[in-house]
Amino acid sequence: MFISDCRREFYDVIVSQRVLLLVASDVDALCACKILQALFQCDHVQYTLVPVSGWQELETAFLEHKDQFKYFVLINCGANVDLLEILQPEEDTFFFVCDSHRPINVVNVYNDTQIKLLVKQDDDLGVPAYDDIFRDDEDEEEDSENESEGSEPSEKRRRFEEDIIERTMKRRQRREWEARRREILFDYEQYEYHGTSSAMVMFDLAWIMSKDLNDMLWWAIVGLTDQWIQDKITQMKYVTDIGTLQRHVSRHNHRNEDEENSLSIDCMRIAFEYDLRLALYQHWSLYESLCNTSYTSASLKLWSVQGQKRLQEFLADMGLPLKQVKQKFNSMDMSLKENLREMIEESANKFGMKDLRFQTFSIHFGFKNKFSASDIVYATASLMENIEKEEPETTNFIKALDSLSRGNLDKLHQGLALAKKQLRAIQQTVASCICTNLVISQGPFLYCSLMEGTPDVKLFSKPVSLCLLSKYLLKSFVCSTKNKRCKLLPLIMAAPMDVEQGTVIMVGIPPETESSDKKNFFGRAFEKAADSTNSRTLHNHFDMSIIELKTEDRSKFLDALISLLS
Amino acid sequence: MEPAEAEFLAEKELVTIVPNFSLDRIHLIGGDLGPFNPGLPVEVPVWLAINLKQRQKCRLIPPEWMDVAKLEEIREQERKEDTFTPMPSPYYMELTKLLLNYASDNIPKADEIRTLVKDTWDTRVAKLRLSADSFVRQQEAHAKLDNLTLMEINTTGTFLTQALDHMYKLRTNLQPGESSHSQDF
Amino acid sequence: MSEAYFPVGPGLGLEENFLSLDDILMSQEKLPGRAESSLPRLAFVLGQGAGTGDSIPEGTKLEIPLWLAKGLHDSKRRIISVELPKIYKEAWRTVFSADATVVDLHKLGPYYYGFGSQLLNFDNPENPEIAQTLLQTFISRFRRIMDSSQNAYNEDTSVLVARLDELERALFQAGQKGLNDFQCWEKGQASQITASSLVQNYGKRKFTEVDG
Repeated sequence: MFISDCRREFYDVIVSQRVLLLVASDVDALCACKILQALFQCDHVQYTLVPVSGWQELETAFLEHKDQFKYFVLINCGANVDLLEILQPEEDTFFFVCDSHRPINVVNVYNDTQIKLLVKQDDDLGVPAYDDIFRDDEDEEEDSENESEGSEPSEKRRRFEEDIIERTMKRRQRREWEARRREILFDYEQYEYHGTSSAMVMFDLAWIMSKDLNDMLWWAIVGLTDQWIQDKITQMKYVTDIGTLQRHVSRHNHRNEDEENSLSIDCMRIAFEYDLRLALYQHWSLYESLCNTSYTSASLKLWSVQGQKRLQEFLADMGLPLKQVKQKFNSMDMSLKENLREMIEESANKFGMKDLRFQTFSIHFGFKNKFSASDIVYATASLMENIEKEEPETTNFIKALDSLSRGNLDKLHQGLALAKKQLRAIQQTVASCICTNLVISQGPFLYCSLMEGTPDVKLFSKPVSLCLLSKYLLKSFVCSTKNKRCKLLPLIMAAPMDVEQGTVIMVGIPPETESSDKKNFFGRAFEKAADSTNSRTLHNHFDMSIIELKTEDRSKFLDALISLLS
Repeated sequence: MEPAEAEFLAEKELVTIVPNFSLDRIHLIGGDLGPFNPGLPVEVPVWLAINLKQRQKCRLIPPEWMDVAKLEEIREQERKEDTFTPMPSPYYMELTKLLLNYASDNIPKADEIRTLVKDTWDTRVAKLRLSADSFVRQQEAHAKLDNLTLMEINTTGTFLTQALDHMYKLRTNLQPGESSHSQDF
Repeated sequence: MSEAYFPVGPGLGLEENFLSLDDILMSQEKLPGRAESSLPRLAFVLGQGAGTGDSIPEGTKLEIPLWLAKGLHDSKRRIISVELPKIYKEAWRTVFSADATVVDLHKLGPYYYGFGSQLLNFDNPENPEIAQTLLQTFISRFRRIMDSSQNAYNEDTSVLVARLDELERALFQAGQKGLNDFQCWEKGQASQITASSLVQNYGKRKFTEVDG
């Protein structure tokens, strides 16, 4: 069931209990977790934090802890499946689910006792009405009652005939109802998409309890920015949520900075910015950032010789000397930096890049620390999928979680360095895929498969990195292809996952169009294709559109997908 | 003694907080605290104030002396006089660090205060060194170090006592002592 | 912070400190002297001859360690006589009184003060002057040691201590520790406070009492 009063029905319940936090591995979940942890610290709540990266881990974690805990908080996982069915919990176990995955499973919605959903109500959820999908089975009872009744044979016979008519009527009704139910459920579950960021939901909770701090607000911003960078929400939704957060930002940071009341430089300040959409540019050089941002690289077609030439023209148009552009952004001439954003925007418009600036926030603290929300998202995400050292995933998770605290600047800088590597790897892979025509049209969708032995292929066995790669690739492909039909197709991307076990990881993303609603139908399609071909697949990821698949089963699986979708 | 131990002692000092919760008087070994009422200022030890502040359960009111005008005056006084002037709190350094680190959002002009206190500290430590040198040079037998705080003594304490110890022994060498002659064999 | 080993400081006077490693090392320093009477069969021990049976004739110049010199020196029996090492002599004393801070005490004998104090054992007529020079040298070098040890934060101190004698080096370290501890505390890297060892031992004793 949905919780209407977060404070009374959620926080006040768990505040005196031992709680198990199950947190998915994405930046939004980390931010939500950070906010909740800060609240728990205020009230001395005992909790245990367990990172989970998929359904299997969620189940093991539950089995391991179910004897010690009665209260489970699930962050960014659990809403889109029937939790009671997969976990089989005891009756006195309670789940609080804060998840941005949509659609929410109907059983979770209509369970009144054990499942409590922390979901923003004003999201357009479109949950089917209760009567349309659930029906108490009273018919059978009536039948049995009927049989014991009746005394006279003639009447009995007449009754019997009536009974048969009635029963067939009922049966037909039931069949119709069931058909309708299937249809409703199909419509409801067909598309996978994302709702309000969990970090924002948690921040709302803190705000309702007037325990919201600037730090929490920042985490909520990072959570939202993560959704935007991962392309999980529509532009419209992003702008609306940014507006909501901006009200909080001005409430927290309005403090009249007059002579009398000035705040220490060490305190954190959040500022709204209409910033450049260049990845990490404040910690990189402008040139590197232009080359490795998907938006600029796709618009300028940087993988081709002409593209490189266009980049030079672009820089010349802005009037920025190459030497300045190629050195660290921090060390660029102050005079150049003054009107940089306007200058770049003006030239970008001429080169057809109309959206080079976007609304975001940044923080400052101390004298030299300034970070944009997107910087933090890139850094944290790449810390989480760090493949440089063979460490257990929990270590990476904890490191990523720590990097969100202001006190751990060294971890954040480490993350920024990793993020640069990741973006470079993505850009190089995109360029080589486009130049060697690896993206093929399969009819209803585009398909691209990374070969074992491609540089950085190990990085792309991780879900978040692979998703980013596919999104960047699709963007670039749409810019490069002349085929109008291909521009409107979704993309399926496969990368080798585990060579020894012979598995590939496969992800499907929706088409890249201006008015895209970011709804993804690959989740259900993958399930069906796997069922019809008996492919050995593993639907382990919380996003249904990411699956693992045995390499040998790949071709029959794809054939089934093609026939299913055409 | 470690600076951390000096800080530990400083945490017993009282500061005023404005709590946002209510709680009856609590009885601790060190004395009774409270009662706490939302919006009503109450005096608590620094350790409790910081804990409550970190858990967002109170707003901190800086001590009276933690004010730019007052501290400027103290700094000027300290620079003018040759001897050590009395400090507003025997733990001024420790309190400044603790309160500014954990509650800088409740203290207006926190950065200026930090600089002023550090200036005063530097003046005093330089003065301490100067007087130690003249003390040694003139081979005085005793010195009066009024108004020095624990933390200040702590930074040069070991050094100074060790040096004076050496000097004392070198001075006893000056008088051919009786003890040396009793060693004859 | 308890350490496994508490270094014992030097005695710095007529008497050495029996447990001080510094004093033990110092007593090994050589001292110029002369045999006042012939010393039979001791040439090998004193490093003067090859054979075990060789003896040292009267008037031979010797280089003997301090501990031995102290044992053999006796004003009545006149076995050996001891001369002052050159840095304690008149000429160097003038140098010290002119400007003690420029002298490289480490090169001239790393135990300047301790060794000098020990020399007072040998009834030299210049003893009062030597003692006076030792004290004045310490006093005039004190300011520089104090300033450098209390200000050198986070830098290479090897240049600063190069010209200091062992006693002064220990002093310098004490000053550095004070400074470093304070700076660490200021940056919030202070160590954990532990209960005093007295309290801890008291606790242990109580437990054993309960057990018994």
